[in-house]
Parts: sequence; structure tokens; C-alpha cells
Amino acid sequence: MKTIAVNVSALAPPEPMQVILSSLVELPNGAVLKVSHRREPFPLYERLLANGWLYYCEHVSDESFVIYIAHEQDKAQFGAYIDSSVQP
Amino acid sequence: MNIANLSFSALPPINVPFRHFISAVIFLLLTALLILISGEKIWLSRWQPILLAITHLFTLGFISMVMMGAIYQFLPVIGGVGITNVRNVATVSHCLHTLGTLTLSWSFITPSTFARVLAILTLGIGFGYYIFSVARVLIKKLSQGPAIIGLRLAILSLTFVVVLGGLFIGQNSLMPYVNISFFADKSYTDIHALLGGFGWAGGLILAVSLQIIPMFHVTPSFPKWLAKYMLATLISLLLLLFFFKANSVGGQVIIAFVLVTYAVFNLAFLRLFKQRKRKVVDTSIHFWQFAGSSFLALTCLYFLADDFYQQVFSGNKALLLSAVFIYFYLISIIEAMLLKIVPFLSYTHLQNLCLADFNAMSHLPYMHDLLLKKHSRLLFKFHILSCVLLILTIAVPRFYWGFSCAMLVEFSWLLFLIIRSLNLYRRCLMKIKNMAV
Repeated sequence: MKTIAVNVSALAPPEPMQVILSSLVELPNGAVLKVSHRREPFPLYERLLANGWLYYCEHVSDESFVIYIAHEQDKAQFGAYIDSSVQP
Repeated sequence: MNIANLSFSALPPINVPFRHFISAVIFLLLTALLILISGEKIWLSRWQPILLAITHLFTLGFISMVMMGAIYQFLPVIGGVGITNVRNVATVSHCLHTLGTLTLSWSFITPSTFARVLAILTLGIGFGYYIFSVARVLIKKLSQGPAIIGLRLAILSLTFVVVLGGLFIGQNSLMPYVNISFFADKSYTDIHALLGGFGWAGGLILAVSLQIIPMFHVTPSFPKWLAKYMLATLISLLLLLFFFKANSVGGQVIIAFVLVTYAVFNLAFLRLFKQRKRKVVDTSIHFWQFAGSSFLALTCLYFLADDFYQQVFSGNKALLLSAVFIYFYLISIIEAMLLKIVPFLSYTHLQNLCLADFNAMSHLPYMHDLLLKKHSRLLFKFHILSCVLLILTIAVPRFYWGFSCAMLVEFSWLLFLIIRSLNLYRRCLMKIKNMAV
């Protein structure tokens, strides 16, 4: 899957969400959005799920999280992508 | 892999935190009017019944009201889990808290058994239901971060404060049935006040700051030792006051340690603001800096000799220190938080709608339009003015009317800012809904 990466870790709310939304608008079919964040954006998750998106959060360190987001229709590829690209 | 398998409770509806914020500001407007009609005699001692009513309008009506509203919002953000049936919890506890605060204040001004019983019932049930609902979330297996642990300690302190408060109100009514005469000892009032100030309000500020200062102001994180141990140390010190009377030597040493410990937290956040990479001008930070500096000044004032208080404040040391803590410190920080939370919540609720329909993004306002910077700056100026007039009133009580008028101006302005932001939110929401239709 093609990966589009954005880094929102130096931004203050609500800018991270603005960047994520704008990136999702432009996300090509079959691609994954990789978001580098300094905290885990819990409220984003439920909204993603409610609106047909999948996510996976990788906890890198106390102040570093990587969130992968993809369309629900790409569930199988996304699962394989996470298994192959993310350290367990 | 946790794709799509987690279930998070939704963020509370926007009216849940906002009803608390609006009621809180209205309580302060009532307080200002009460100060205006009560005259200068109430400033002679902190035990004056009307001053006790005013103190509880500040602490229950404003401080606790805002904090309870903010917790509904913080829990899902920092813990990932919200309160079950939040609408019901918020409606019941908000109504009972409002009624309880009014009746308690009324019972101080015109003592009556009916008002006292009503205050015990409404505050007892309101706080009980609220604490039970929040505690149910906090004992679940949430992320065990220091902010959540701090929130647990703050709620524990609140429980102590509510129980002590209930026993105080019930002293006269319960006395024929239960022997709680030992409660007449003023040192229990000090524990009630100190646990309320430093355990509940101060503790919650500390716990929440661990997340929101680095998050909203893009500062480095608090030192790990501070995040892990400071609040637990503070609460342990406060609980020691059950064994050492507050006015004994041991009690005074404990209070001194509490002040110094909390001063270290204030120094820490003042330092974090200095270390920001992006030095954006932000009135909310001015409020934080003013609060932090005020607390450091308060700690120094505590150690000043009594002669100073005799000469300048007619010996009213406790009244002065309480006033500085409540008005200069707690209210400044709450206003700092409101300046961030009010536009952020309005914006976030609109922004969430954009995930369902990206076209809605064209109707999103700019966040700084929800709360204009010049409006925030004016609020800060009003606050400084009312702080100066409060000190003047404690030194020379005949200036009470000036403090009252300054409060009326400051909190009318704050009410206007909250309602303005909410109106803009509603207008944008209508546009987005019309677009969907």
C-alpha cells in the first residue's frame, strides 16, 4: 500500500486534526495515512471508526505515537500492511 | 492488532460542559452582587456568615462547577473512556449542585434548618452521583498515566471534602441522634478548606496540567518525578492534618510543606512556558504565569511575621491568603483553561462532523474567530483590575464596591465570550446540517 506520512507532533490542538482531515481528503484509494503524533488521539479513533476508517496505533515511546489510517474497504490489505511494517 | 476493535464512549454532547461553564459564571455574577449589597462589615473576618456564603459561591458555584464540567470532557481525551450515560449524570448532578450551592449559601446568610437539610440532600446526592459515575470510569483499566492517577487522587480528596462539608452542615440537625460534637473544632474546617483547595482543586489542576500544558501549549513534558510523585505527596501531607491540628506546630509545618511542594509545581510549569519552541503570544499563558507568580508570592506571604498582617490587613492573614489562593490562583487558572477549552470544544465538535462529510470543512470557522485574541486580552486586564481591588478591599474594606463592580465587569465579559463562541458554533452547525440535507 502507498504510504502518505504527516507529522503533527509539534502542533497545538486543533491543528493536528486539521492536518489529518486535510490529508484524509486527499488520500488516494488503497493508500495508508501515517501520522506521527506526540500523544494518542483517543477522540479521533471513535470518529474514524464511525465514518468508515480503520486505524492502528503504534506506541513508540511516552511521547511518540504513530497512527496508521486507511479506508475500511481496504481492510485485508491494511491488515497485511500493519503485520509487515509495524514492529510487534 | 487493534484495528477497529476498540469501543470508545463518545465525547459528551457540547451542552454538557457548556452548561457547567455558563452556570459557573452566573454564580460569580451573583457573588459580585452579594458583595455589593453586603457592605464593608463582612471583610472583618473569614468567619463572617456572609463571607462564608461568598466563599462557597466561589468554591462550589464557580471552581467546582467548572471542574466538574471539564472532567466530562477530559476523561475521554486523556483516558480514552467517557462516563456512561453522561447526559443523565450531567443533568442530575448539575441541577442538584446548582440548587445545593444556592441553598447552602442561603443557609449561611439566614440560618434555617430547612435550608440546611435541603443543602445536605441536594449537595450530598448531587456530589455522590457525580463521584460514583466518575469513579466507575476511573477504576476501569484505563491507561495508568500520571494524569489519570492524579485524577483519582483529586476525586478522593473531593470525597473527603464533601463528607466533611456534609458533617459540618449536619452538625445541628444530626446532633440529637449522633454525637459529632468533636466536629465543632475549627481544625476540621481547616482540613475541609485545605483538602478542597489543594487536594481537589489544586490536585485536579496538577493532574490535568500534566497533559494539557504540553498538549495545548506545545511545551516539553513535566519532569517524570514530578508527574509521578508530587500529587501523592501532597495528598499524603494533607491527610496528616487529621492527626496534627492545623493550628498546632506540627500542623503549621505540614501546611508549610504543602505550600512549598505546590510552589515547586508552579515553578515547574512557569519553566515549561519559558521553554516553548514556538513563542506564540497567548493570553491563556499570561493567566497561567500570573497564577503561578501569585502562588509563589502567596508562599512567601505565608512565612511573613504576623506584625505585617496586623499593620496592613488588620490581622486577617487567613482571609488574605485564602483570597489570593482562590482569586489570584484558582480563578486565574480556570480562566486560562476556559480561554482554551471554550473555542477548542466548539471547533472540535464541528470538526468531528467533517469526518462524515469532508465538504463540511468549507463551513468550519477559524478557531481564533470563536474567541478573538483582543477579547481574551481584555478579559486579562479586567482580571488584573479585580485582583488589585480585592487586595485593596481586604486592606481597606470600604472599597468593597470597587471590587464588586470589577467582578461584575470581568464575569459579564467572560459570559459574553462563552455565549458568543456558542452562538458561532450553532450558526456553523446549522450551515453544515443544511448542507447535509
